[in-house]
Amino acid sequence: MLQLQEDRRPPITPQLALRVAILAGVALALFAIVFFRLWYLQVLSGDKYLAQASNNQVRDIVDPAPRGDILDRNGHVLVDNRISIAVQLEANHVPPRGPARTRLLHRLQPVVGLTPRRMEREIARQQKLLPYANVTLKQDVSPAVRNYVLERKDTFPGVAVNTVFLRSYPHKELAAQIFGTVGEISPDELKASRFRGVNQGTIVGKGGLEYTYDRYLRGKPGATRVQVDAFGRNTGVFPTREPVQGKQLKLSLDLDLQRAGQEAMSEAGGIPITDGERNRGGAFVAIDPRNGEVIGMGSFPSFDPNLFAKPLKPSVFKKLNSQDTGAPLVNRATAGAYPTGSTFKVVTALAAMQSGTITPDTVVNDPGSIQIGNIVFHNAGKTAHGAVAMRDALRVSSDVFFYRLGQQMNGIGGDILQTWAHRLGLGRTTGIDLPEERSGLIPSPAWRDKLYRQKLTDRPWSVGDNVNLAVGQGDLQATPLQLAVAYSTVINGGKVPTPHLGLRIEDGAGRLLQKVEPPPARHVAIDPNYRQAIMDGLQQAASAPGGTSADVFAGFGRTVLGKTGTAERAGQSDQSWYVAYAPDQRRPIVVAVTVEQGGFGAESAAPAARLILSQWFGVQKKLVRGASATF
Amino acid sequence: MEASAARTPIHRRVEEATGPSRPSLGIDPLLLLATLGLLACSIAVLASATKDDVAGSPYYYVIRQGVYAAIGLGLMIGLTRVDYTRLRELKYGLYGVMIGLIVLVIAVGSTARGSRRSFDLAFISFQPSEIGKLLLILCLSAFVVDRVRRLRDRDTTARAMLVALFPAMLVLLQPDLGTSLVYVVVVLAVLFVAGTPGRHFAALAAIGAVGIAFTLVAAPAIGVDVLKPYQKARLTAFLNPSADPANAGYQQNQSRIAIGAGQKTGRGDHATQTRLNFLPEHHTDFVFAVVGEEYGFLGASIVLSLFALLIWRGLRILTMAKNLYGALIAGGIVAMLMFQVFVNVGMTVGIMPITGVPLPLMSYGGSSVLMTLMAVGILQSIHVQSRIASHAKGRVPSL
Repeated sequence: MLQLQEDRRPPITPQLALRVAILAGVALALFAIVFFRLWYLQVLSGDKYLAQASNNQVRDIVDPAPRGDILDRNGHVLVDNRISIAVQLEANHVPPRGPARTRLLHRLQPVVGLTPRRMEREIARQQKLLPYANVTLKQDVSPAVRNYVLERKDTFPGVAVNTVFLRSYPHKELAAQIFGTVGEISPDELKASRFRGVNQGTIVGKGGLEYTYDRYLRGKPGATRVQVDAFGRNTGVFPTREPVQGKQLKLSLDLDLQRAGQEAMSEAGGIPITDGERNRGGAFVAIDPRNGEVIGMGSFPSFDPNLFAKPLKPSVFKKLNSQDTGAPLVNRATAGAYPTGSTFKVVTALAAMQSGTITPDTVVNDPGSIQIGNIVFHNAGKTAHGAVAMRDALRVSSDVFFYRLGQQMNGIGGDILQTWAHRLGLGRTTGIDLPEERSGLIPSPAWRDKLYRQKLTDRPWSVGDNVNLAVGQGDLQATPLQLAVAYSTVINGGKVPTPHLGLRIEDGAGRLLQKVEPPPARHVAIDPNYRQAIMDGLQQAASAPGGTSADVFAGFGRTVLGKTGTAERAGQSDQSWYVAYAPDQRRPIVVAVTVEQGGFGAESAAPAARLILSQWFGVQKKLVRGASATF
Repeated sequence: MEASAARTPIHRRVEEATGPSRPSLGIDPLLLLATLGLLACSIAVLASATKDDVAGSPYYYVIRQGVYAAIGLGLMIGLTRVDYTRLRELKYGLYGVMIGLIVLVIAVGSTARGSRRSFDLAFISFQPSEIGKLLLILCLSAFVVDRVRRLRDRDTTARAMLVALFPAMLVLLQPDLGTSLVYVVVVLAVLFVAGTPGRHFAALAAIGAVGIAFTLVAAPAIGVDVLKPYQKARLTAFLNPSADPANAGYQQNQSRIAIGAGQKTGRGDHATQTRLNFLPEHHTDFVFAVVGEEYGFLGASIVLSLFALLIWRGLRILTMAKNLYGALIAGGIVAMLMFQVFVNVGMTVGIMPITGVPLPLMSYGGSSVLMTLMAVGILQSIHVQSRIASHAKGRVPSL
């Protein structure tokens, strides 16, 4: 017979029962605590811990994407990439200043070949620049160094050896200013809308074309998402995203013309390409007047942008920005604002005719000088040109003719000269696809009177200012590019082209993805008769007897229209200017050249323009200096 | 025909359960269930958690744990058939064996992570301090039973404490703080069950507090470090595990993340904390965190419930024991299991410091599994003996 167990239990004392109850109570309490804790961890905070567990196991390794190449209009490489191995200190693992870091840097000394002090300086400099980025100690190390460091992870904690893509410029100084530099995105840029979606550590364009077309050139960094175990060992690779090289940017620039321009500036302008004390400066721009395609653009002195591929020594950077060396980093074609001398007369001529101040055939006597108010204005060398109308005035560059126009247009029709200058694109940016562009200045009564009221100048506007402006002297500031655009506008009969260097965005195989075709900036109504008078005058200037640049283009064999200019600069010798237009069915071109301290326009700028045009049309190159001593 | 065929085994079982000539079948089935359940859980958890631990043999730990469990179950069954009361006579021998083994391991044992706790035998590495827990319970209970009439003497309590503290100090020298704490808990539990007056415990608490203050504050101040720095770091790290996540608090943090990430039903094969070794010692001390991560709150609750069942049955057996010796042994075993479960699980969930106490039956390790199964065997023996005794009472005046 089955008995119940309880029946057979020996009786226990009440004291023992109490003690067992206490033990049971303790057990109950302990289990309750553990259960409650488990509930809290797993049910109430489970999501938090799950996230932590996921973070634990995944490391994203970013594979930087090479930036897109930049090509000239014929497909010649202007900028590409080269692979370099860099020794870096990882941002999160750089030991704080102290003995640990000093020891690490001492161990690194023989590896990277820098003294610890030098490395400390480099760390400080780069951390100031980009606080949360890796600090590059040395680039272009050999594979042996890479292996040495990688095999000694324990000896070099926080030291990474990464493959980086460096921009490479095979043509060195050629068009160096237009490309701009690249660098790791800064904290401020990370917040900017144009860099939306860009991750920290990405290399972005910091200036020039690299900046403007960054969106295309940047590419997509790849990511290798690896699963790591507790020791940081790779235990698995998730689907990896390959880095995608940036798009290729094809420029309207013509490499041969660009090279010819550089040689011309050196040959005709006497400008050394790089370095030298107190370099003279200069610039040239060549554009297609129909659509604003920039065929050539050079600024001198130039520099080798390959310098920027590596961390730059502060002293070198300082030198590149110094006036003493001619500030080679400045793109004088778009950011060098100067008085333009007589090349401005085209603007004055158009304004005078359009405003009805004169007709194309109004004859003015040029006795060599003119008194306006109590100032006597002279022609260069006080040459008397006699009775001249518009065409002749442009041919011989009669200052008196244009002085008179400046005088007559002063204060009428709401600053008619200034208005036309502005319409043609002076005193405002042209909208070229470079961030570094200056708008220059058209001096006007309102501008000077305001300065006078603010006591920043000694006198208010006077008629003399307008007279000076009429011949491109005085306070006028314009860039070579603006001048090229203004001439193109007249050539086009009113269409103001938007200059642009970018031509096509292409994929790696050169297939067109997107055309860069900025629409004309605006249209200016220009009477065809007035335009014709100006074109005739410019053509005669470059070909007819007495033309200011006729001797320069003697024997050139093609129609050239051109205007010399000689800007008087305070405290230095004259600046030489020339703007040329070579009409052509297929490839018309406008070239603007300026040479600081180059003397008369016919002396250095015009010969340089001839050399550039020779290249463009395949004509035998010949340096011909003109004798015309005109402003 | 069908009815009689079905009835036959039932009849037999009834006879076996009630027949006085079959004492071995008087075991506690629920206690057996809890034991087997925990062993099964252990095998299952180890199978998934240690798959990648030993290259080329995914079942390295499972096979070994299975062998330990099999041997242990054999020992357990053997012990159920032994009258535990006879162990009382062997108390000096058992104590001598225990002390001898512990001293021997300190002298010639193999070193693992800075402590000498085990002998490397052919197949298993044998850890005497584990078996020592059980031996201590047996000797101590015998000692207390001998002096049961003088329990109110301070002398008795002091001597009992000395009996336990001597091996505890030896184990602390290995160093193995967790196990020596188990020894202390065991002696306190045995004294408590025996009925040592409350004032003795109060005095012991006071001495203990002074002792702890001395070890942690006074001794280091005069240049004597009783605890190793890592022990101190572990003991204090749990108070603020995030303070130094790479070192002392690291294990605790990872364990907590593992358990938390398990959520309600666990991450199964995606248990990255375990699989990618973020969870240290996941087959031994932190095996409960594996349960938490892979099987979630559900799995952890099942394991805890099995432990609760184990302890409930242990306490019940305590009350049933036919003599004081059995009750004391049961009390010691229950206290030991309770302490180990709470300290181990508490450690994995971040409410207790890290002290290297294995989770009974769950943690991988031959010595621990064998000792626990032998302890359960003795509990069963107490159960069996109590039933034999009550049967006997019905027929024979006295044993």
